[in-house]
Amino acid sequence: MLIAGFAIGAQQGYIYVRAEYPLAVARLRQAIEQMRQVGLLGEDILGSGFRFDIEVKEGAGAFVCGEETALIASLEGERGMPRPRPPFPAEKGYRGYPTLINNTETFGILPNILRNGGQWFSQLGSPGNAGTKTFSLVGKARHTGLIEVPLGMTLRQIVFDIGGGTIQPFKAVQTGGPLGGCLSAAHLDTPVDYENMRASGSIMGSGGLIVLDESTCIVDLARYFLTFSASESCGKCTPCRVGTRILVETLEKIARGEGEMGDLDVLYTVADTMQRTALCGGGQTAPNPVLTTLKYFLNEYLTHIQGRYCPAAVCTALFEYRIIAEKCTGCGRCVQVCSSGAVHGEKKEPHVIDVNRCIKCCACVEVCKFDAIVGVPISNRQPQEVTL
Amino acid sequence: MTPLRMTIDGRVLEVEKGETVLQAARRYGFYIPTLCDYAHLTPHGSCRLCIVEVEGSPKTPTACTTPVEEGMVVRTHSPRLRALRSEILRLLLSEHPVSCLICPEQDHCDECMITLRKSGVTTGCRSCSKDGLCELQELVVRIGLNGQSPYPVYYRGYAVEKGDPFFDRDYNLCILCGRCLRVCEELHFATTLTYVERGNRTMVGTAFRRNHVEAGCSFCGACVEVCPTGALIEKYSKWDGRADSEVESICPLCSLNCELRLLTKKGRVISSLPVDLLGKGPLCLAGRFGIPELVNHPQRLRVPQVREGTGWRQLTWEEAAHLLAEKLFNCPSETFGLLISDNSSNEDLYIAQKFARVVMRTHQVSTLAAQRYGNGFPQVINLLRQSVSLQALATARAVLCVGLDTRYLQAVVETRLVQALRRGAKLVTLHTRPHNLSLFADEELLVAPGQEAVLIHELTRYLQGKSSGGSALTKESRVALEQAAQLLSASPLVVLVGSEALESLKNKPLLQAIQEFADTLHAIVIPLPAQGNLSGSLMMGAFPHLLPGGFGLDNEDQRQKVMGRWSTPLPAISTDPLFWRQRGKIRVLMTIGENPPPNLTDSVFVITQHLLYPPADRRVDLLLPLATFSESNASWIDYAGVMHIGHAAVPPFGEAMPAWQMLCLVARSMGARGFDFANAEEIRAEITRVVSGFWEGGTVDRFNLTVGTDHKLRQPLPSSEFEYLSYPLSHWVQGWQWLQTQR
Repeated sequence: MLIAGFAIGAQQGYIYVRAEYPLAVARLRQAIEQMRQVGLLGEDILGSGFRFDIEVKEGAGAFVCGEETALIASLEGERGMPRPRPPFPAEKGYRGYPTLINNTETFGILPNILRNGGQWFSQLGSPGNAGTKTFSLVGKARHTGLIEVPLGMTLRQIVFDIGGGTIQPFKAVQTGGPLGGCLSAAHLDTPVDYENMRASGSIMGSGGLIVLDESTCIVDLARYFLTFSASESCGKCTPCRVGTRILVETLEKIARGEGEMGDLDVLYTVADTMQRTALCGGGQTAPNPVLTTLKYFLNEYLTHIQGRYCPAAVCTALFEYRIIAEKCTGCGRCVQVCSSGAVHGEKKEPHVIDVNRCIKCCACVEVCKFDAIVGVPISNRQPQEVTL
Repeated sequence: MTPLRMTIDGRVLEVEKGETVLQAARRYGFYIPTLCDYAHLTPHGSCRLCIVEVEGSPKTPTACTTPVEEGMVVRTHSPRLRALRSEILRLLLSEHPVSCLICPEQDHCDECMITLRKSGVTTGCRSCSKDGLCELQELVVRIGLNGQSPYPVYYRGYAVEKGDPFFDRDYNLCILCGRCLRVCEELHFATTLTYVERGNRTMVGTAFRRNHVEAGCSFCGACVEVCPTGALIEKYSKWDGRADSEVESICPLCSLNCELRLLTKKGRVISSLPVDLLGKGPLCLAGRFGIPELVNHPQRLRVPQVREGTGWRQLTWEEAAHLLAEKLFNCPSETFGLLISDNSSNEDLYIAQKFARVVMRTHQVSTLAAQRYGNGFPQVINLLRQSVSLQALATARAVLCVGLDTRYLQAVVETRLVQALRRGAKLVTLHTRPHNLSLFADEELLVAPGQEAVLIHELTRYLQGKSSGGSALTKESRVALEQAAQLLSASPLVVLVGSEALESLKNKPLLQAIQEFADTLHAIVIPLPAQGNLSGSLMMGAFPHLLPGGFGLDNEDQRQKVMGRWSTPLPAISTDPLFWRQRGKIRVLMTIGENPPPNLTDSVFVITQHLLYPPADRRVDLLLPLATFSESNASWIDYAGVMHIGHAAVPPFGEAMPAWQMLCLVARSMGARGFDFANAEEIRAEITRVVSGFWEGGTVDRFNLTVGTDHKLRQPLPSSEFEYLSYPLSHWVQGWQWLQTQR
């Protein structure tokens, strides 16, 4: 930040950091204090006549404050809500001053570039997408954690080579956080860079990579992310404030087993409206989980709506648990953990689940060593006629 | 300003740099639907309805936030835009009570559902107070949404907020356009309204869910005026629907004499609005919300009546005029007195003093201003002589407010101060108590009552570079004083003197100190009296020591002029300025817009023309109904000497008439000449001959306004609030009465 400040002639920098990261806050403050002590912040830095200082501002729990104009509003003590652009922050930002605003990751690269040269930097990554990116690799991968890779590495390399693949069959990767998209196995050879992510309907975003396997319900996933976006919506513009609510309500309706084909139209229409007319990037990208899952996992939606079945056994209204007799050894572990007394059986005999008592807490599934318990469509329901 | 050229819907147009696409389009008559846009409030960009297509970009930006560019090609309508706008409107409607918009029986609903309107809960347009006036409704019809909405309606389930005075808030109807909070921020220091909560629970409200009194609301009504739906609605006219007419008038409640529009329905005033909210400014709660209660007071007098025993006997105007004429014929000049309210119009005041002088041959006509201002009255008059418009704040670099609280009454002063401070002016406030400017002033000087003059003297000395007068200032006061002096050493410097200072018990030394301060530092002083036409009463000569034009009785030129106009010599008798207080002196007392003084002996015959019956402890013999400002064409002279004309909005109530008309009737019955005025314009034509500068919008010449000598008057009546026609404002306006209890 010091370098950037010097470059543009700024005298004050602010770091906006989530208050929910107390360790990060403490370390930031410590680092800043250390810089002050060695004279790298303050008046007349290193005798150059240049003065610069950095202040840490903790957020107050709003996701939308990651949007640059909302962040600036929050810094000014106002409610974190995006402002119309133009004017852009570089022209008129914090308190009306020209403001350079970037992610800390971006500023963090500057010293290395200065030290090693631009040539060195542009050799990393791929043409048009120079450099590296940090990612948070989480989910059902064997190895999870923070990674830094050159831009342009493929999803397959990241998920399988670095992440060690998944235990259960691989299903999808959610990239970019709650505003990003869900990419299927067909995308595994996509290079991870800004253009390719956008082209596939996702975003690079905060660098989240959530690996999902067959035990993840894609409809539930979309619902989960939309619930987050709906509660984090700043409420200023109509498409996002109302659109996120309607998307959530519709997805919940499908997950409850009350889905209709018309609901898909609702999802498409609302998502499209939000993309085209929302005020900020947050509202424009909030429908991405819905749009990408509809694009790449439409079958799963249709199974939910017409088949009245959740293949991943997540949406409790759309499956029941059954014990596969051939695999069951009658060990009785499931009986011990069952919270509603729904499992019965004689020792060493295949056990049976009483679906009327089963509350689908899935404790039995977790404890069964023989993978004998599976989710199956609810038996007394007929699949709907296909009407397209 | 180099003009740019751009294309809108195929037409090449010249536009200005800095304009938005919406502004340019509107200028040329293109229609773009909007909801969150309002006049020249800062664009919000939240409703998203004004989206347009820009060639060369796949995006649809909002026209209200997009600045024009050279060569820009814009389309305001297309199938894609229509579809998107319809969608946005459907989204909006999914969180608004819309049953009427989609009900199949809406066409014949009013045949059977007339009283459904006033139900407590709004479920659709027919039960909404804004039915027929709602901008959302208008937009739905204009954009042409067909009846069905694919989205289930989400009812927010808020209780309607009715606990604050003057206006109700039903946030179930709010469409979050943000106009209310933007206008509040524009006009006030402390913004009452903000967004609360987040996600789809986002709503407009106050910080920490306080009620509006705690949240610092001025009740200026700006938010109510800009609200497009029924979310914010004033209580008085909530169910009245569309007004029949709007008439421009002038507020008579204080010397600001704000211009306003009176809305009428079925011959009654139902509401008042400012003429130009974002330009000339808002009204205060009295002018904005108090007027209908005032002019429609349920106990207003309808007919002339004479006291008979313990009751009243109705008279016709002829009978009343005849009775009066008889009494006045037999009344020697020096035993007649006329008291007139300084809330009266110029016409009333002019005819009153002419009546006294020409018909009754006496100078014993007065308002109660002398009594109110005590021995500081000459200083008040002196300030009014030099006063200029609040426009001076537009270029001020420093402002000193003395005894001025802008929270409730005279709210437009706060707006001017806000604008001045935003331009970089510094504010120092001097008062005897904490008040609304305390938080926002750059320096606050708090003094004990009576000590204000001392502090101002110290300030003057300080700014002249002189040493302290040795007064007992504490260390803190000294520091504050130094800071204040620093801030006030900029120029131009404006001093605003509020009514609390003008009417304070020790107003004479205070106002003298202010005059000295202004003279020494070349500051502009603007007094803001609480009386609706104090300047008018002085300029019309409605005082024993003044002639019309404000000249003293001894000014020979003006005497000649006036006598020439009136074709009568002026009475020569000089008189006591407080003639009505001398026991036994007055035998016939006429009061207009004022209650007679208490404890009058039975030998005094009292005639009162007023809106209401007198209080139990005041005796009146002949009671005449008075028409209000809303029922007459009337003119006023404001604090800055500017003359304003207000028009009659409704016919007079019952048999009421303006004071000038009553006096002319009586004068003619007595055979006097020079009282044949058919209307207010004719009176004004005569006034123009004797008061220079007297025309609409003109500033009357106060150069010759005589301040009068300092009399040994008793202390002025302490006033804690504004008055109208001798009653405190809280007597007329219930909401204001309640607000006083909340202080």
